[in-house]
This record gives sequence, structure tokens and C-alpha cells, in this order.
Amino acid sequence: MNNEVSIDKSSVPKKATGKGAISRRKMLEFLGIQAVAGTLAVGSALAAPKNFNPDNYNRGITPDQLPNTKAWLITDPTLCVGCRTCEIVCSLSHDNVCQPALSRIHTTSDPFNTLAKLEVMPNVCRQCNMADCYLACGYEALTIDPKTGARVIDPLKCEGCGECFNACPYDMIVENKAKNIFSKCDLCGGDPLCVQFCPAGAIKFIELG
Amino acid sequence: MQGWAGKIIRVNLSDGTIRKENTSKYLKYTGGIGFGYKIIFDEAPTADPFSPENRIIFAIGPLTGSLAPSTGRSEVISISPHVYTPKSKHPLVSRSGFGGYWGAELKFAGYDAIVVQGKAKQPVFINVNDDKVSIEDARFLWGKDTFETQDIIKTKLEDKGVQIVAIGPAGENLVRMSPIVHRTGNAAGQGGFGAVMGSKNLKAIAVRGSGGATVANKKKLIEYTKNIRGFMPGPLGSTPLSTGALSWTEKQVDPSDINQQALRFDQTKSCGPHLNKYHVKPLSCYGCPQGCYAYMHIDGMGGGAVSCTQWYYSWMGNTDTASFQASQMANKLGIDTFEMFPMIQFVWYLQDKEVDGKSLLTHLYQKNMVSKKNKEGLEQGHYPPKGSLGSEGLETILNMIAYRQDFLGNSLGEGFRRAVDLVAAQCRSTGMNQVAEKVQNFENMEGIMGGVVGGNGGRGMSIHYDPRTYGYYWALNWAFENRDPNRHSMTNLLEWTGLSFKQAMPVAIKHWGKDIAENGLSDIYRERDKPLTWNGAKSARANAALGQFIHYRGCIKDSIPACDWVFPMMTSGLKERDYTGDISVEQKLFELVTGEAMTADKLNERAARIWTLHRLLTALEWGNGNKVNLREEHDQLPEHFFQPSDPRFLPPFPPAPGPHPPLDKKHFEEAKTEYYKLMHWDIATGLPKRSTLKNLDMDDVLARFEKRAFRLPA
Repeated sequence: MNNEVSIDKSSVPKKATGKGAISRRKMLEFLGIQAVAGTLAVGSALAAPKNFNPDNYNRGITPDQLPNTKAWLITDPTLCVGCRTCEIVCSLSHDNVCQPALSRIHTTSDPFNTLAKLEVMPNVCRQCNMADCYLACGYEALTIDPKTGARVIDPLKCEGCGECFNACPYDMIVENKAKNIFSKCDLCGGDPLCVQFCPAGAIKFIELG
Repeated sequence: MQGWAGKIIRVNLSDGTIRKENTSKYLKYTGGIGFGYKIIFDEAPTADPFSPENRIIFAIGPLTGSLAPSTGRSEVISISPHVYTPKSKHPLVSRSGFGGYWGAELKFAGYDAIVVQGKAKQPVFINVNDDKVSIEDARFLWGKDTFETQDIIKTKLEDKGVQIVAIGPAGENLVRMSPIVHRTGNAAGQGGFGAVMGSKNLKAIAVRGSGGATVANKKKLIEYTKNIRGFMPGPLGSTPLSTGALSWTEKQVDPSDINQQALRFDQTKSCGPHLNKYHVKPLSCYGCPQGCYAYMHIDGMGGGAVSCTQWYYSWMGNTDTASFQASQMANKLGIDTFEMFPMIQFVWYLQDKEVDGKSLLTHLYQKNMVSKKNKEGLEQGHYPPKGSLGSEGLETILNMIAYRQDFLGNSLGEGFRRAVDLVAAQCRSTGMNQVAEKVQNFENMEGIMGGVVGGNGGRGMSIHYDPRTYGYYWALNWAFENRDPNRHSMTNLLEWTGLSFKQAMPVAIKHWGKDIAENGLSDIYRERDKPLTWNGAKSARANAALGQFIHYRGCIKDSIPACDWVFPMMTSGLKERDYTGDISVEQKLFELVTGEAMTADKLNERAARIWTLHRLLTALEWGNGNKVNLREEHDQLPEHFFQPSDPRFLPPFPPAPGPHPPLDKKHFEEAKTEYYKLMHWDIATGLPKRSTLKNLDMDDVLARFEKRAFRLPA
């Protein structure tokens, strides 16, 4: 069915809201439904990612070829006090500007509609073993930090295609519109600043042995 | 230079025009209140608070949005409908700040300020999304509370990340102590700026930005922030009910462990201990490790952040869930919680005082000034055993104020001090002279909680920290400000920290030297019959210096901006530092963020410029351009602070110690003289001199002032 998928370029997701975007998992599920239904065209409501080429998916990489991650950030959302220092220090250290929109760790705040303890909470990259971002990249821009196993985007190799962004099921890939590249949590090489600066002990760095 | 976004939004609601201007012409005034005062001074210094030409300015500063801790503040500046100074020819300019996320979001959208003037034909809200700014219909939001309003706008804009300031029904009804509310508990409380928005038909301002805050020295800022976090005192204790117990010293938490900072603090435990089981977690503002809000949740009341005086109902003695309801309702309706202390005292007073065997309230009821239902509700809100001090009394008084119900509620909606005059006048006009006299007497009220809520300070609003307890420097502070002069610069040393006076004195000496510390400070926990320390000329100089320190620090905090609760960092929890903090943190953060080399003197000069501009604005407003003597007319305290106290005006509930012995007018005047000298203001009139303005590089301000008003002393 590869050749049967038409691409509407005008519907390429442009904004990191996750709204117009579709994760790789969601996309595969969608394609499966499409195959069953025998429908050929992808409507603009569910956009295909830019440069989408199913041949690239997984790039032939099998789990045994992709080393497991060695460390995680884990969070306790019930402890988060919503100061957003993690976002500030993350964007400042990586992107030289205090800009939560560029931060690789996110906080959400919704005082009116969420469970009380989750009024504010952090959200972190899971550093997935079979990382969809890694598998999606067609430009070898995704690399592995040998020390932490973190899946890292090399900004010099990133072409800004957005495949990783669309692939991530957790919306943890960040678009840098000014530079037209994408970025993600790199675990700061093993001593994450978000952990160092969290005043509430809501984020921990754990090594998986 | 880094730090500032570079643009200011101008919105004229009368003709719907929106334009943008460069921030550069205001940079001399740093940001926050500096921008606000300059814009008002230049454009509409004597506007009526509710007239379309009155400007309301929302301004941030170079540090907003950056990593610099506890700097995510926004300042609101306007001519205040809340300040009440009958001797002034015009209403006076005032300020109020709030935390939360809104200020940082404004920076991310690319702006240093929003200036609103004019009046919309129908309710609107302003929507800022990066470079797109629009005026949107808000008719469907009118009448909604501040929480609903924010939620509806977020839903409408399909973006949970949008940050909103809004007014509630009280602001729409021009209630004079109506705040502007952001999130669930961040409020620009005093000044009645919610009513200014209401008078403009402006329901809310929504802001969304995708940009960032630039800093000059990234590496050093990260290092230095970590350094500060290693010695900054833990979250401040917030109430006298918790004296000492919340302090880092007693909690034995190592402040060098920068983690867990926010978790040392549990507001609920100290302020509403009966609600502990409803405490969810602490809550912070943008970039702040302090977590000084208690996030509470009670089924049926929803979730909300509570801090400090938002616990007013608990402080007044309530011991059930109405303590939280009080905060939720005030924030939703848009009522300044700090004003609720004298309000509640006033309605108690109306019930406690009698004429001809009937309470004052009964007399008001018989003259149709309050309905039967509301009278009974207020009586329910009396302290026990007469009333239950519960939900019913609370709902009655808050709804009366917000919706201006009955003559009494309509008067209370004017603020407690105006209400005293209005109710007394109405009583006189209906022939109840004795009742009128008793009502009028309430202007001599005493503050509760041993002087922390300081009573009627002379600007028509509830006021912080009784100078009979705290000192002549604080009397100066009351005399020079146009509003409740609350600054935590001194209480961060003498109160909240848990240090005893004996422990605090060496810290004070390190910051100011022996002369100032020993001749200016008194132990605020001394016996109630002991007057303030006074060592003649030495004390006059010391108190003037401390007064100036508070004012300069206040102007710095409200312009760079930095949180008043946190800065200056007078103390530290570290014994090896002898509990000494670092009061140079502001200047170092300013330098690392902006790239401008900064010293204490240079930052003080920036503060002096703002404070002097505030002074000139006050002079202009006070006399409508005519010659004024601010020393004699403006820089005064209500007479009863100089007289032995009358315990009748201190409610018997909740139990609180009476005030310290009265101030001595001679000492007060001596301290004022020294203060004018320090400020280079004219001693006879308290006016800034021409030379002072020239030295501060304010020639343009001098020229404009003299053109509009009168020639300043040489």
C-alpha cells in the first residue's frame, strides 16, 4: 500500500501543539485501518508527515540493534509546585534563552479541570527503548549518548523534517522554529539541570544499571 | 542590552486602535512601576480613576521570565479609585503587583508592558498572541467570576497555555477594592485596579507567547542562581499565628540543599490548621522556589491557591471550611482580601455598639439602609457566641460588597474608610446623630493581630504593620506612600525568619552598620508597655536611613522586578553564615541578565529616579498643579497613632495584644527632616529640589512638571 498513500503537502503540521500532528504509532494504526477499509487517500484532517516514506520506518532496525537506554528522568507529579524552573534552566542551558517553548521538559497547569494533585505537573521524555523518534529519523540525526543511553538529536545533522516530532507518542520532541530544527531531552550528559534546580524534588534521575 | 523585550503595546479602547512602541524611551525608569509612573506622569497625571483617559499599565521588567529566582512578577499602575485622601485635590497614583505566569508570558510574546486607555462601548477582552494583538468581544463573559472567565477564554482560544488576568463581578460593579486576578490566587490586590478595568469595560487580558527571555551571561546566571539557592532563606513564614514555627531555623532544614525548598513550607498548617486534610500541595509563581501558596481542594468549592491574607477568615477566627471558601469567593468575585479585615471588624462594630439599647446595625435596618435578610446574614457572621462566623455571614458580606446590595453594601463597596463616612453621613441625614457619631468613630479603629494588620493608616485602606510596634522608619513609610506601604524588606529580618531580635541584630549591623541598626531597630516582640527605641538625633538619622532603604528597595523590587516577599535576602538559614543573607543579590542578577555592570549605588540611583517621579506625581495630584507642602499635608499619619490607644476599637475577638505606646510626634518630625535630607528633598515642603532632578538626569521631568505645576525649590 506504500504507493497508495497520497500526501497533501499543505497539511504538513507546522506547529508543536500536537493538534495537527500525528504520532507514528497513531499513523501506523491509521494506515492499518485505511488498508482494511481500502481507502486510498489520506484526508487533510489526518495529515501525513513531511517526507513521509514508510520505507524509512524503523530503517530496518531491530530491538537488538538499538541499545536500551541506561537512565531515565522520573517524576512525581503530585510534588510539582509549578515554578517551571525546569523549563527555564533547560532552555537556557541548551538554547541560550529562557524559553519554555524550547524546553525539552514540559509542565502543564490547569487549575480548573484536572485532578487536584495534578494541578501542575511535569512531563518528561521517556527515553524509550525502541524510540520512535530514533526509528523515524531518516538523516542519522538521532544518536545515542553512550553514557546515559539518551536518545539525542544532533542539531548539525537535523534537517528539520519533523519525522521525530510526528513519531513521538508523548509529544516530547520540541520544534525550534527559528533554527528550523528539532530537539529533545538529552539527559544533560548524566547530571540533568532540571533535577538539580527542582525545588520540590519532583524530578529524579535514575540509572537503570 | 538583554533583558527587555523591546516593545510596548498601546490599546485605546475608545477607538479600538492598537499600536506598538519601542521600550527604549522608558529604559531610564527600568521597568514595572517605573514605566507606569512615567507614562502616567507624561500623559494623564490628574485623570479621574474611572475616566477613559486614565491609563492602566501592566508592566514587567528585565528579569521577568528569566532564570533569576522569584522574579516572575507583573506590576499594575494606575490612578487609584481605592486610595482615599479627602485633602488631595485629585485621586492619587498607586501600584499593585502579582505573581503567577502572566508576566513571563508577556515577555515571551515580546512585550515589556501593555498600556490601556479609553473605554470600550461594550465588554471586551484583549488578546495578545505573539505579534497579534486584538480586542475581542467579551459580552458573554460579563458577570462571570474570574475563574470561569479564565477557563472560558482558554477553551475559546483552544489553548491551555494562555495566561489571563481577569476581573470578577466586583470589578464590573466598580467596587473600589477590587483586584485583578490571575490563575486561582495571584492578585493585584490593592488599589482597586479591577474597578479601573471595569470602568473601561475591559474584562480580561489574555497573553500567549512563543518566544523567550534573553540573558547576557547564561553560564554565570546558572551558576549564580545555584549559589543563591544555596543560602536563600526558605519560604517565609506567613502569619503571626506561626511565629517561628515555620522558620528554617526551627525546622532544621539545610538550606544548602536546594532541592525540597518549596516543600519546607505548608501555609495551611500555620494559617488554617483545621483545613490540613484539604491541603493538596504548595504552589509557586514562575521561576520561584518558594512555593508560598497552599493549593487547596474541597469538594463543592473546587481547587484554589491560598496565601497570606487570603486566609483572612481563618485569621478572624473561623474554624471550618469557610476559611477556604472565603479565599475562593473573594478571588472569584474580585474582592481584596486584605481589605476584609477592617470590613469584618466594621460590621462587628456596627453590631457591638449601641445607641438607645439597639445596635448600630439595627438602626441602619430601621432606616432601610440594610435589608432584613442581609442584616440577619451579617449577624450570623458575628464572632461566637453571638454569631457562628461561618459560611452564611461570609457569603452575605461578600455578596453585599460585590453586588453592592442595599445602601450598606453599596457603601462597603466603596472601601471600608469611605463606607464609614458614607454610612455616618446617611445617618446624620436621617436625624440619627448619635448613631452617626458612633459610626464615624470607627475611623480610629485598631488593627488586629498585634499590629500586623495595622488598622486605618490614613490612605483609606487596610494597612500593614503598626509603626508603634515596628518603628519610626515604618511611620515614614506610611507617611510617604499613597497606599498601604507594605514592603517586606524589614520584616524579612525582624519577623517571619524565626530569628530572635538578639540573633537579628548582628545581621542588621552587617547590612547597615552599628549606628543605623542599633539606633533604628526596636524589638517588635518587646513588652506591650515599652515604647520604641529613641536615641535623639542618632535615631532620627537611623530611621531615615532605614526608611530610605525600604523605599529604594521597594522601587527596585517593583521595577526589575523581584518578589517583595523574597527580596532583599536579609537572612540565611545557614549558621556558618551567622544567619546573614546577601542584599546585593538584586544588583548581581540585574547585571547577569542585562549585561549592564551594576553596583549598589547605580541601582539605588535607578530607584531614586522612580521614587522621586512618584513624589512629583503625588505633588501634582495633591494640589492639581498648585503649590503644595507635602511635608505638612501629605506626609502624615492619622492622629490616633500619636494618642494613647482606646482599647474599645480593638475587637475582643480574635484575642490579640493591644498596640504599643503611641508615637511621639516630635520624633516623627525629626525622622522626616532627616529623610528629606537623605533624599535631597526640600526640608520645609518635602518637595524634590530642582538640583535633585538634574542630578538624577530627570531634566525633562523637571521641565514638564514646572510647565504644568509650579517652580520647585532650588
